[in-house]
Amino acid sequence: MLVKYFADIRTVTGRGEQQWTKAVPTVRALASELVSEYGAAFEKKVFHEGRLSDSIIILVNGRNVALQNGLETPLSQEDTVVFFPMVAGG
Amino acid sequence: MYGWSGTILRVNLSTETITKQATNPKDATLFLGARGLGDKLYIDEVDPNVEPLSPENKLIFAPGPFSGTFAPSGGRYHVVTKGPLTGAIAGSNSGGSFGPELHYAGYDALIIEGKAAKPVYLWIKDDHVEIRDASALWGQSVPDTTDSVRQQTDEEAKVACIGPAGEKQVLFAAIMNDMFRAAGRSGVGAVMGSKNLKAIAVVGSKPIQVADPKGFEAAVLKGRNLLKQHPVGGAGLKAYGTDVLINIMNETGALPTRNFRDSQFATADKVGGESLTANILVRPKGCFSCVISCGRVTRVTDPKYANEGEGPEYEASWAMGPDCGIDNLDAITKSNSLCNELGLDPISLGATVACAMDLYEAGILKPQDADGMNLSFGNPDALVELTRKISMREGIGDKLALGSYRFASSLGHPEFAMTVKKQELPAYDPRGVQGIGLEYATCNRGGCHVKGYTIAVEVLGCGAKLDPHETKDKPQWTKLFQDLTAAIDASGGCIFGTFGMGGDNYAEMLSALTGVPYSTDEYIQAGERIWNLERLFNLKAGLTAADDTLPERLLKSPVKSGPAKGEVSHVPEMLPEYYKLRGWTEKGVPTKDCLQKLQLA
Repeated sequence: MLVKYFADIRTVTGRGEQQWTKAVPTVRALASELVSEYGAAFEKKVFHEGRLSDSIIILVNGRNVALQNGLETPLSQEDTVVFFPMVAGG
Repeated sequence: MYGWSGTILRVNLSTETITKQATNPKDATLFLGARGLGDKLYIDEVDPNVEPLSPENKLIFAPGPFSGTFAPSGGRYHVVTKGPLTGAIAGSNSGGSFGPELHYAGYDALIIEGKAAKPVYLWIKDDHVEIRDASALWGQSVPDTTDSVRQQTDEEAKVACIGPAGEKQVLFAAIMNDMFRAAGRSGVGAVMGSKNLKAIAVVGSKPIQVADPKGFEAAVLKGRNLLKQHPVGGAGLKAYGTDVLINIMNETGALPTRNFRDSQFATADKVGGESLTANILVRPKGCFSCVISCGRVTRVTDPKYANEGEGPEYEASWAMGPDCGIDNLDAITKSNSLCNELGLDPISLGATVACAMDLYEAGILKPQDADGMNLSFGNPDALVELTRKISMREGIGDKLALGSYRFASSLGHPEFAMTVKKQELPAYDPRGVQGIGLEYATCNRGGCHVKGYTIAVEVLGCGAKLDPHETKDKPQWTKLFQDLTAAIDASGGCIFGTFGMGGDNYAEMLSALTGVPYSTDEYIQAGERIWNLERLFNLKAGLTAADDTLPERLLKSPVKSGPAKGEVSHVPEMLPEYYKLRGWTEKGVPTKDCLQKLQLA
């Protein structure tokens, strides 16, 4: 699984992307593993009171998990998962 | 009057006459200012069939009621004319400090008429207005012109001007103000050039009267706090600028690549906001009364592309980057600086180069017709050289200066032009984001994202989270965004203020400022009124429902790979519902009932 980080989430992880080999069945499981790796700063970006934060965009294969099953969106090893803070422009 | 200055300045360059008239309070109330009041003045006075580059066309500069106040990001002004690229109503909006200064000088609008016999510039210091010789300035870049005009007038003067591209009437020339801010789209710089008007310098010292100072202060502080607390308005845009969108649009599978042949660019990260911040950012910069500071002061040290300036923004970075298959941020920034210095719209510039590259790779544009350049996708040196050639109308640049539609058509292949109403499309693939395609197709100034930015809810999750691949509800969101944006443009506000504030906040500020009570609905309806007024002008100018469409490539060629694989744009399916919501006929004509409701009949 390829996991990518952008904007200020990249400053938390210190890297732009990483290969993830440990099995994680859902986005929640992956996010929890990443909290263990990157600490409270990452947790604050992704979770709000245990729920998916309104200020995070997580894409699985380019599709926003907020439009799927949120943190329970299933994952497989072939997936690409992307973490963005809420950003905008124009 | 409160909020409005109460005076409109008129300068006829043919007769060298300068007159002033009172602002019509009813027009101000109904059309607010800036884009709306500018539209109303223009459409009341100009034949819709006017030739855009003729003396009979007019050019209006208009600040809004917010311009010059401390309303959040309230430093905008609008340029209104008939666009030479599109033949439609052209409205181009810019920040910086020029708009507020024009308002401080006491004017709700400046109407430019006719054509000067020789190059001139306009010097406005409050009530003093003077037409001055600009022969020595003709041919100068935007920074040199700005410096020269300030030296000749006042070092504190705010200057709007054109560069060589505007003088030579490149159809997508910009009007630049405060050196780096641009009324960039739809060729307003060419209209200014056609009038032999090189620059406008202004110094103002008059206050803007506020109807309810305490109420205005409270509404402004509420709005500023909302912006500061918002993840985008408060910190996101300042940290990474608009170019941060490169990666998210690429990951969404909707970053147009190589003239919309593809929708993802493998090395997009090299030109995104993260790379810009890490490699060339000097500091963020904001416009007048801005709490967001999305502007980028940048410096490139690579000797080959060395430059100092501002930008690129997301759109420029995309147009000159992925759309041209280029991932060299230094070269993109160099071309962006050339656009600023020579006075060009970087979106149309980049997209026109992309079109030329596409034609070149297809074997339609022959090497012998490309001034000896290799115009293959991905060539950064060709981009930089074409930017200069187009600005100066040299060689192939003379033909590309007419924009991609006319260039591709001259080679017998208009289908290579990714345009709507002959204006180049911006940085979102409408096959991967359905609502923005409807905005492109229906925008009154031709292909444009910023007048109905549905990306906010289709991709970014600001305000709502909609599936970008679905068409459901997109017509009503498009209409709402178009109407709200028209109202904000007309108020003198920045649409980035919506990354924190809503229509209710704008209505509250405008009511306290002007003393005219606007409910949220009335405020948004003012935007709807403006939208319909522009539509009526376009219909009289000869545009029809057949122009509310996208290039065939986006309607019939599915995305080849990535998250949007297999998708095409469904604009034709969404259009009837959009017309119905607007109260228009099946042919896209506003009905009598619609016009009466909006007090346009």
